[in-house]
Amino acid sequence: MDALHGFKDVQSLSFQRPIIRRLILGSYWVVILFAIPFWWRLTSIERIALPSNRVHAQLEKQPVFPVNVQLDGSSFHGRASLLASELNELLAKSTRTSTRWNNLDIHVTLDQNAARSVYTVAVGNGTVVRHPRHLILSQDDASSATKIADVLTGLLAPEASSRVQRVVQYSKRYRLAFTLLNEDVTSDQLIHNWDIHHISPVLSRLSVLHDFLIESQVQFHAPLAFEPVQIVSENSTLYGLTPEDLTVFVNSAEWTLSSSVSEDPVLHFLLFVPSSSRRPLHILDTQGSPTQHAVFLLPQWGGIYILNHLEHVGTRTHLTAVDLSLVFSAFVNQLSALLGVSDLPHGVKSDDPSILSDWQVDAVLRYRALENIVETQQTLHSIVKLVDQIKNMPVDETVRGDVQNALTALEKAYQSTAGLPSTILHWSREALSSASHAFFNPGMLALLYFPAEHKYAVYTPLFASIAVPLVVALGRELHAWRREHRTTAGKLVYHIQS
Amino acid sequence: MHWLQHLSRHCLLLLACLSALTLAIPQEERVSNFFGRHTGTSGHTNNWAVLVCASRYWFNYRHMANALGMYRTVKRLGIPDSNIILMLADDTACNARNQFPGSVYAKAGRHLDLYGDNIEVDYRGYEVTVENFIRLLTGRVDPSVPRSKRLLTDDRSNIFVYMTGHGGNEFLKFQDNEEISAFDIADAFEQMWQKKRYNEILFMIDTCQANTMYSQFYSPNILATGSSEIGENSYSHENDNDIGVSVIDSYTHFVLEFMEGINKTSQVSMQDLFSSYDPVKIRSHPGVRSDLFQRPLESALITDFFGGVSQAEIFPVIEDADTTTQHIIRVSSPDHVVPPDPVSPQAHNGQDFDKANATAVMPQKDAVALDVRWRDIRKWTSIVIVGFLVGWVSLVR
Amino acid sequence: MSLIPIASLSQGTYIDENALQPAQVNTYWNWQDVHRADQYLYHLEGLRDRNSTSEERAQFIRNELANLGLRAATQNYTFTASSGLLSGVNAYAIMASPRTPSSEAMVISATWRSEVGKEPYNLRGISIVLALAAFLKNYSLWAKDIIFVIGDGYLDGMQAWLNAYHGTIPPNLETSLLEYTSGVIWTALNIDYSGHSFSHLGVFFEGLNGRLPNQDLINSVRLISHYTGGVPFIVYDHLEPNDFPDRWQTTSILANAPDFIRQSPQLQDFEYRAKNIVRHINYQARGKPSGAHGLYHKFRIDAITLFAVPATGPHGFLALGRIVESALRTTNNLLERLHASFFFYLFTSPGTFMKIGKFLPSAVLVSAAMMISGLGDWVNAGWLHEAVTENDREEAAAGGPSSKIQGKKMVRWRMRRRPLLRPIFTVLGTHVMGLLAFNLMRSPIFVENHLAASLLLFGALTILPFVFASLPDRTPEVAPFSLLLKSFNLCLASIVISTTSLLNFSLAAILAITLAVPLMYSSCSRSSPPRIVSLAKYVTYSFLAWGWLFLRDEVKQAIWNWEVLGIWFAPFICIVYGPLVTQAGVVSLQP
Repeated sequence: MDALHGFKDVQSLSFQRPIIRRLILGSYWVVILFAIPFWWRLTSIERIALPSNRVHAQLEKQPVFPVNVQLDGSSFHGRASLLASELNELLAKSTRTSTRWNNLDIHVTLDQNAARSVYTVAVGNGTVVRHPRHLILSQDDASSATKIADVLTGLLAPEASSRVQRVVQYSKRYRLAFTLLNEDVTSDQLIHNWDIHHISPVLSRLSVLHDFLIESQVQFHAPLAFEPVQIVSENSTLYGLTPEDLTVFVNSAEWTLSSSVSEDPVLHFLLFVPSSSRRPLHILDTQGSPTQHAVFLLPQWGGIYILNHLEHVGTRTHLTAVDLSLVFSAFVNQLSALLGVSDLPHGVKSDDPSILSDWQVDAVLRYRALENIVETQQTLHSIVKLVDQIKNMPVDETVRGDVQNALTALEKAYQSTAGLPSTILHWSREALSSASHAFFNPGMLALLYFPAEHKYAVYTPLFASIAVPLVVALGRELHAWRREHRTTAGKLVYHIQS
Repeated sequence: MHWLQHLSRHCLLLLACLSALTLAIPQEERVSNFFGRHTGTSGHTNNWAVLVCASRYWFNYRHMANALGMYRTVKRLGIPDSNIILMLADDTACNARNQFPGSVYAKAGRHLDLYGDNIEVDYRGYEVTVENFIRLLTGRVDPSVPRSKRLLTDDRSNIFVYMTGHGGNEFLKFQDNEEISAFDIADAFEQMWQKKRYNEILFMIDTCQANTMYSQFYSPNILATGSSEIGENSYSHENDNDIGVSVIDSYTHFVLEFMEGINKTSQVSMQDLFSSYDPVKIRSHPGVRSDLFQRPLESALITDFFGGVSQAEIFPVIEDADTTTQHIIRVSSPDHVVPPDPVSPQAHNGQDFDKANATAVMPQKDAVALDVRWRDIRKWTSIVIVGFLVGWVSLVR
Repeated sequence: MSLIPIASLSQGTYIDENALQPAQVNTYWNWQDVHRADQYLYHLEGLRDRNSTSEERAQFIRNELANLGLRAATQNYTFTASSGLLSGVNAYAIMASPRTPSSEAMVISATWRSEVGKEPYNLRGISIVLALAAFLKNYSLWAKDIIFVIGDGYLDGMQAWLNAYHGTIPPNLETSLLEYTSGVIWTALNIDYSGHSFSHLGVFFEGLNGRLPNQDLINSVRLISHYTGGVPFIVYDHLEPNDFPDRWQTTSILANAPDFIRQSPQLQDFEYRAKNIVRHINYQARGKPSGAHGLYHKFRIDAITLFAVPATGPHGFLALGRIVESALRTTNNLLERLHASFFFYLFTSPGTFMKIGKFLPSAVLVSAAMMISGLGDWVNAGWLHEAVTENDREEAAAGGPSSKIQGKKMVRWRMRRRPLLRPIFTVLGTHVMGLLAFNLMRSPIFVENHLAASLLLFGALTILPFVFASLPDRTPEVAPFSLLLKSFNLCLASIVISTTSLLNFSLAAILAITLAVPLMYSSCSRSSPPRIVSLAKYVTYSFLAWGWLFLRDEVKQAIWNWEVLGIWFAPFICIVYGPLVTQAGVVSLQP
């Protein structure tokens, strides 16, 4: 009677036997359980822990620069020891109040055998700094501790000028682009050659701080983007640049000022030769009356010199060192201003004004080192903070390596504060470059934002359709198993009773 | 359900704004003390511009014209090419369908060729991707990337970021195959702030529902403006019947028109620009977000973002040894001499700043956190409901 | 189904593809170009009046195109069909895109003959294509090659050219490969301008086997026609009721109705829409292209025919040239094949259409009903309804749920065997028979002696199925043959309808009407009718299935369509429709 029972008994199918069915179900679950770690591993973002404790500890630290000043006991005639203690007090007070130099620790001693980088102070005829690290005070300046302290503060901890903005950011290497711009060669004589060698003495002094690459060019057609003001007085006509004009003087659209082959910051120095129809070209003050100035500086960008006096050049097309001496002394000045070198304090002269004194170089070294250290600390702090804040930012081994290198270099910088300023600078630079390297690591690009809703939208259709039957089947199977268990137990009891 | 979440979100935002207002007032003074440079003038020394046209294809001609129009303006106002990063997702000028090969026009009369001479496109065609854009902003570029494709800014840089393309609620499409979200840009700006890659940012975007794109920003010193509100389209302005496509978008057209009246030394403020927005003419409601910006908009000049150099110092020739007679001329306030402020205020006051600013920013952050929590609650509730339903169904069976 | 023409069910058309940007360009086609077209027309009229051969005409066109500096050539072709040979000469020219590689192309074509209007020759259509060739080459902005094709005949020339272009030459076509080729053709505009002037521009869009072009193309041209050309745009040559009320009145089927009906705008609108749909179904169900554009669809080219509806004015070459120029600018903007808009739609009026989702259910519901009743018959065939005797009671108790106690009397459903072999053979047999008949119809003998041959064939097709019905089976243990056959028949028909509805809605709708009624009522009562009634019924069914054999011209045309154009209508009727109805007839024979 097969026709009567059109359907086979469910239980008789081989795959419907409980044990087989459970094995099938179980194998699915085993696969899923095994796959979960792989899935987890493959979809997770590599985020290696950063040494954040060390970074936070670093943030607390402040480097201290010990500076030893040695008074020449003989020239101070016995008041040296008294002066020294007074000076210590005064200098400590002035550095404490300074926002810039509060981690400078100046010791004035009489000890001949003090550590290296000792500055010596003696009394002489005029107030002069001498190579290396000598200060000769005039009788007048040496008369009281306050005056000496003022001079020393000005030399060791020069307050920033009001134009702090003009100082360029620290970089190991700068490109100096010297450009001679002939406004219009068609109407005047052409200057196609110039001698730019006199910049070298100052560069060699600054070489402990930076490496310089020099490029120069001459342009024959450099029109201004605006029309200078014409000022006619009874005996002469002159042309003026208003203060607004100065900011737009550089015609960036038409002057090609530097090649863009490397990423080093560029400092521009322009020597602008106005066309004869626009000469002399002077800068006007805010009231619009002409001043004698023809040199100006664009913060962080470079300097500009307007060359009005070409009379002595005659018909030459070559500007010699003599012609350019004023120009280059201006450029040197601008360069040191841009690089953050402070001027000597008022009343202090240098025995060789053409080069920078050790005092000045040391001050800028210390200043740059400090700047780098603070910058490093902040960068490291930023990295730790951002990694913490942006959850899907990957962090790999190289980032951690760089962070550790930066921390190590910082330690070394701290240890070497008593040594030569150039050593501190070296380590601070190392630290900053490692920290920046870590921050700018291309691998640290946070994966694009992916809202949680999207994740569910992707995963739910994939997994829900599989998961629901599996979970339900598991539940039913467990339920069946338990019932079976209970009934067999019941039967057992029954048997015993019978 | 949908309106409910919106309602709650709006309420939270409203609350947050109110509390931010009340808290911010006493803070203002303190903040301005720390940031002497933010009281009136921008305090920047260089300007950068990042101009992005994110869509390709001939019929998106107007987006390229938008970006090129901005390019021309910032260049005219003095930002050198080396400081402009121009990203164009396609090259309509050389498209075979262009009746005027090698030219791009933004006006129906075709008087001004935006593609004229001296165009430097830094990212072109398929280089314009979300990843490249984020890398450009954050500076996380491959070491081999050339200088012209890098944003070499510092804490003295004012950056103008302009984006255009097809977008929606909190996203902007790139090349029709990927999108950048408001969160991505906000995070990128935060990373830039952390690494001191900018002094101030002006973010301008022309796309549909553009104002949503700056809603997620949380880093300081950002001024943001967009072409249209949430749920609103941005429309094209006009069509050139010989080119055969729309040549410029309405919002950008009116911004550029306003900019035509500006020159390099103009004293017009951002507030003037924002006041010039006319929703009737633009056919959408442009928005401005200035809560992150530390200066009053009246004193923020257009040239602070569109111009080149903001200040110059007269430097005496060393003819006499007296070097102390140097004096400074500030363009914006000629009599004003900047008081000696500490070296690198950020460097020294970074910590203080965080504290000072944190309070001002906090309420907003709270709102965000609450928002996130609310989202979590919603998420888990829905999971529970689904789980319950599944369980119920299986039990019934 | 009759609800389809109601206006509120349709929705407005819109452009979905961003790239198209229709009607946004200035057009420069002017009177000078119109003059040129007039000159071409003069020459062509001369050729027509001289009764010139295809060869002469094609040579003239080729020379004119070559004189413009285009790569021009002619193509000779010969089709071998059961009704005889068909040959002609096409002329074509390719204008290479100035700034892109020739990988994409668009086509402007016209055929020598026109079949829609009153004039038999499409002279103005050809003239304007030639004048456009001269005009368009002055532009440098073409991103695609433009191919100008003048096909001989009505459909055959274009068919030969397209097959040769794509290298798919069927065995019955004798032609050489084309001398010049270009890239992939994406869009084509076919121009049919046979009258003197025109008042409206009509669009024809149905293609081979019911394929339709992307709706974006039609919508773009509609906008262009409206805004650039200023010409009203209509579907086919059906004038809108409110457009020319007097001309409408004369053609309306309500012309003799009382005034209040005739003037009712709703009714007029309904009639207009219904007319459009009926015309559409007429083309689509038969798989017949409504113009030369329909041949392109086979090669995935979106194409339409622009038909200049003959009138005494006011439009002429000037408007049409502008529209074509602007339409080409629009298709030139395409970056990829048209894909954004609809491929399945019903145009109820130029500006409104119906989505597939709205009209498909009408056919699918019928097919679903047939499927359910077929399955019901299958289930019925498996069970026998009988009263239970006393001694079966025990067995019944063991049977459990299949027995049912109704008071004292017990009714039992009993399973019975369902022999499948015979119905399957019947179904297969009828379809094989249809195939044989189709092949017979294509033989020359059949063509020559149509009446005799079709009588013979009809007789054979009617008598042969008796073989299947000859063995009666009356054992209660086995399911009746007719019931099984009916169930098979219904299920098969349902599958056919639902499948066709996706490919060709019109055919499915026609099938739903013509199959549903006869198949459902093939065996209506349980009581066996007199033999003569069932025989009469069988003959009726047979006429339904094969009666069309006597329509000589239709048969000839359908066969020609299959042989030359590859239209599936004839084989479909022979192999699918005929046999299905015959099966229903066999069912009716067996009570």
